[in-house]
Amino acid sequence: MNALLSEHLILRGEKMVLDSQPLGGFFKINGHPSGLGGHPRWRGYAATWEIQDGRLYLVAVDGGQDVGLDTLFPDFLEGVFAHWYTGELRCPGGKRLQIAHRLYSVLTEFDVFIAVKKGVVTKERVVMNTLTPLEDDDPAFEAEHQKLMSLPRNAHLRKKD
Amino acid sequence: MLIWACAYLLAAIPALVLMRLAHVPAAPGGELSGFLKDLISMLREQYKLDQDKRLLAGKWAVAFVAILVWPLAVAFWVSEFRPKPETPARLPDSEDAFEIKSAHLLRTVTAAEAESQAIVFDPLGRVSALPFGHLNPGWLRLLSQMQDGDTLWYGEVPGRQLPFPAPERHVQFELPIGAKRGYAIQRQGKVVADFLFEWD
Repeated sequence: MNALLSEHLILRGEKMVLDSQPLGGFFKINGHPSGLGGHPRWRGYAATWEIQDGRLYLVAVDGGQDVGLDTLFPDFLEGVFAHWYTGELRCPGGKRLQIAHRLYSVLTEFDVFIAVKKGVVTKERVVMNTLTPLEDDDPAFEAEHQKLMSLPRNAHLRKKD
Repeated sequence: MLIWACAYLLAAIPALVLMRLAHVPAAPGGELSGFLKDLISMLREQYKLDQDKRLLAGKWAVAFVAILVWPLAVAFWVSEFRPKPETPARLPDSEDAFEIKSAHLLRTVTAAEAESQAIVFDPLGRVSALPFGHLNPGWLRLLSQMQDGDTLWYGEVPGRQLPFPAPERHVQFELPIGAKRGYAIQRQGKVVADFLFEWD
């Protein structure tokens, strides 16, 4: 995953890469704003989100010179409650798994999944990603594989009611 | 007992004669009587005639099959070069332009009912107080397309279920991806406009 293309989520003060695009649904519902086309990022913007008190807020939009939070939501410069979003946010974290990188582009040591219903967080969990047996005999890959295989799988941190 | 012994010995005579007939022509210097020479010659001639007949019958069979098949081969060859009309797999549907289609409609509602269930609250005040909050422009756009005789429907679009195909199959999502909820206007049995208020 290229960080330049990524959305970000601030979770408990830590900024993580977000592998979801909640603003994409918003644009499809309300229409794409003009001015996004000239941005070098492929979808024309990169948004930053934050979980505050169990709710998902849009806190920044980098859409080039013409599109930002001030142009999209001029009355909500401190943040926008993402009540339109229902789904599961995914934040890949940790080191990229090199052997997986040969097959996939985004598999990292763990994923943080945040289930959201109408903008409200309903569940949060962490999944430790493990690797399938390697065919590569590189000792560095083997060591990394052994380390990751020793970690607990599907470790759930907490569940919000 | 004697009869059986004689029969046994007599039965060997034809076998010995046949062995002799087969062996002598290959043996150098072998001599046969005139009768046997004629007999062998006749048998060889007959065998050659039978073999020629079999070969001829085989050639005729191949020719017959070729005569039967060649029109089919030519027809196949011509069909390969003939331009084929492009037939679409499915006729285009006017509902293709919308996320919510007739199959997704669950119940009819009035605009007032929909708005009464669409007030969004946020303790930090980061949402509009209008129906459907930040999505209010889209809702108003939908209502502006209503005409006499139209019906407003509530609908849900199911999401993709696990497991995902590669390359996403390693990602352990729990919830379906792509589920949507919203309202749609139906006119003469067809969806002509839609508005989504939940979309991941």
